Amino acid sequence: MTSLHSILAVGSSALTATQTAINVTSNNIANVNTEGYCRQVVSFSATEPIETSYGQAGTGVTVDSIERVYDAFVTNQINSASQDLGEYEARAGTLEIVETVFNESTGNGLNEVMSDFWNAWQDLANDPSGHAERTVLAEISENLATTFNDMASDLVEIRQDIDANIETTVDEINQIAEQIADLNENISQCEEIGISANEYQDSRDQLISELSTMINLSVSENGNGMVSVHVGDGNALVEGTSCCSLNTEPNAETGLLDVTYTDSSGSTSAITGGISGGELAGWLEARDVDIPEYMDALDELAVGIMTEVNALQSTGFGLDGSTENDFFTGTSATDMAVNQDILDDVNLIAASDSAGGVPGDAGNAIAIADLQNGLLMDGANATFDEYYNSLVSNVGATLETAQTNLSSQTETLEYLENYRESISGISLDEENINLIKYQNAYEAAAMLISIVDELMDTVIDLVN
Amino acid sequence: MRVTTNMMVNNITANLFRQSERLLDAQTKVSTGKQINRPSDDPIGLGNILQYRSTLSSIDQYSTNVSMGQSWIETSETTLDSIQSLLDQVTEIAVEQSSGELDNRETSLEIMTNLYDQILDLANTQSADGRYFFGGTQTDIAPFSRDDDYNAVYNSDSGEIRIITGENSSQSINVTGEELFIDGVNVFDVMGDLISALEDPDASANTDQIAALIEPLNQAVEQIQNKTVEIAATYETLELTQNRLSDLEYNVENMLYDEENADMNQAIIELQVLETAYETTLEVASMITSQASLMDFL
Repeated sequence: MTSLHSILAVGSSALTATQTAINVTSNNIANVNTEGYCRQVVSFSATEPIETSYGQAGTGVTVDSIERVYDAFVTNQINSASQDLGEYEARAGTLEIVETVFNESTGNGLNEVMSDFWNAWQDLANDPSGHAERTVLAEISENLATTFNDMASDLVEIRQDIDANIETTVDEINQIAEQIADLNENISQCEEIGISANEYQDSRDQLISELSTMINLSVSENGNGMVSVHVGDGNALVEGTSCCSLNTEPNAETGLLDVTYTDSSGSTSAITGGISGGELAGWLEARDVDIPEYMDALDELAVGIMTEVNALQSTGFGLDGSTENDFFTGTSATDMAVNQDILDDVNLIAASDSAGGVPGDAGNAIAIADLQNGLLMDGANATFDEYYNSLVSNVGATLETAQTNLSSQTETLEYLENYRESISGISLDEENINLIKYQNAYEAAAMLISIVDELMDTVIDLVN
Repeated sequence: MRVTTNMMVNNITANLFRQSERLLDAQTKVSTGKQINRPSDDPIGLGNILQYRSTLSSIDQYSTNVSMGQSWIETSETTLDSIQSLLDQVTEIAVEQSSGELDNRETSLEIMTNLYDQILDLANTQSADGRYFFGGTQTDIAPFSRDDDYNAVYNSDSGEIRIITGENSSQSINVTGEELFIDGVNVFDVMGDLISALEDPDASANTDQIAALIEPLNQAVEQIQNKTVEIAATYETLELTQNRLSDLEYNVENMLYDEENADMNQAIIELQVLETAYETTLEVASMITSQASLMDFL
């Protein structure tokens, strides 16, 4: 049989439950702008009924759980998309800087300098004994060499700058790993006691999301609500409450940084090859694939020019009759230079085809000027100019593609994040309605209690 | 589908960024006047532009070369014309002195030796920068020198002075002292013989020898004339080349202009369209961010 007291208990349970609900709602409202926060909903359930002679009678309400509205599938999709986004962003960003090395749109780049160089040989052919022509040729040649030097060293510098980024990111990764491990600990403790750890889980998801923009990873659940995070080619970064670390070390061959992984037993290995996503992958690809390609092409061009010009120069004759002098020294774009002997004495420049004393012979100068038109690059398929022009186009095209990929991946991620927001995001309208709903329930429960209170007074009065 | 405020805000933000990126590109095009401001704007277009620029630079250089060649030939031509008229005078003297007008033999000798030296000097003409025109490729020494007996010697060679007129093509622009004065009729020898003949104090001596020199002298004049015509023809060829280069330059410049420069009208219209679109997005953004929520009505 139910008593006034049991009704009071029912009312009280209503108050408590509703209060909890209002608490959760207010928490949602407060966190409307919190990054990564998933909205929480309260689920009520009726408490165990009691047996009475006329059947079961309810005993009130209790809060079953405070659930976090969360879709694991879309979260995984987002992490996966973030890895690609990070990769494209890093690569496109780096290539944009590389593009400035090859920026020919204002017309003051290597294209013009090479034209000036060949033209200077033609001017020499017009007056092979002219001192002014020789001096100008030497100066322009120095400019050519310097331009190659500068471009090559700019590319080297960009590679080194990338290393700075890699180092910073690896530090960040390690910090995040530690935080994830800590959260794992907290969550497992909560789960053991049986309370929900919604806020910790939100934080952990947020951290994993951040991590996935930096490196490719996979997440797997262990027991007790803990997760393992594997990065690169399956290297365990976080396992439960313990974490390993990444590091950077200069590669013995290239001097550039390798990313290394130190496992729980302390052994270190280089994992650079296994990084296939995230910013690290983008930077590594730009540093180890794209830029070396361009550097090699630049070197080939420089060496091509040097070899061909030197071949003719050394078999020709200078104004002083000397022969077998090289025009250029150097083995690559980085150390290309005009032979100091020629800079000291421009009469060594071999304009002439015939041995000594024929100052009007411009045969060799004509032959060297003609090198501009020879198919001497790319397996006899391209001239020097064509080779360089297609290198510049190549840089532009690679960047264009990278930017297109970045753009479309950004849109994909936006779409996914919208979808997650739709599931887990907080709608203030919804929360306000809930607030009203719970407020009404609370007021009704309060009214119930005050009525029961009056009923009790009535009963007491009966006795009097 | 459940839509939250954040979704609307995120959408608006993303769209604003997209719009403003396009707006920035359009603004850059209008302010630089160029279609292509970075290789990634249009990689193939830039490749073409670079090719056109190289071509124009080459055309410019070929034109300079051809001008230099023409000026070399011009001077050669005028010099040869002068030599021709001097040789005509020499021939006149020979004709005179072989037909019995014998009382001015001494004067004629004087005039003749002057003419000889004048012709020798002209044969040794130098350019402004000190190169000899008729010395082949030995441009630093005087092609002809004579001794006291008016025997002339050719000191230079038969090399060609060439200029580059185009891709893998060059043109020789000189004529050597050898071709002019030695091969065929040795002009200086003939003149030397005339001087020797005139030197005989006996006024009536050597008239036969002198008469015999008239034919060679005529041939000498013709020889010089032929060479003059030859280099005049070369000059004409160079003129045609110059015209061709000029036409080519015009065409390539147009192609470069089309490829490189933005059509300003179109670019400005595009810019305005994008600005309007951007403003519209901003309006929508302000509508959404300031729209009523449930709280206004509770």
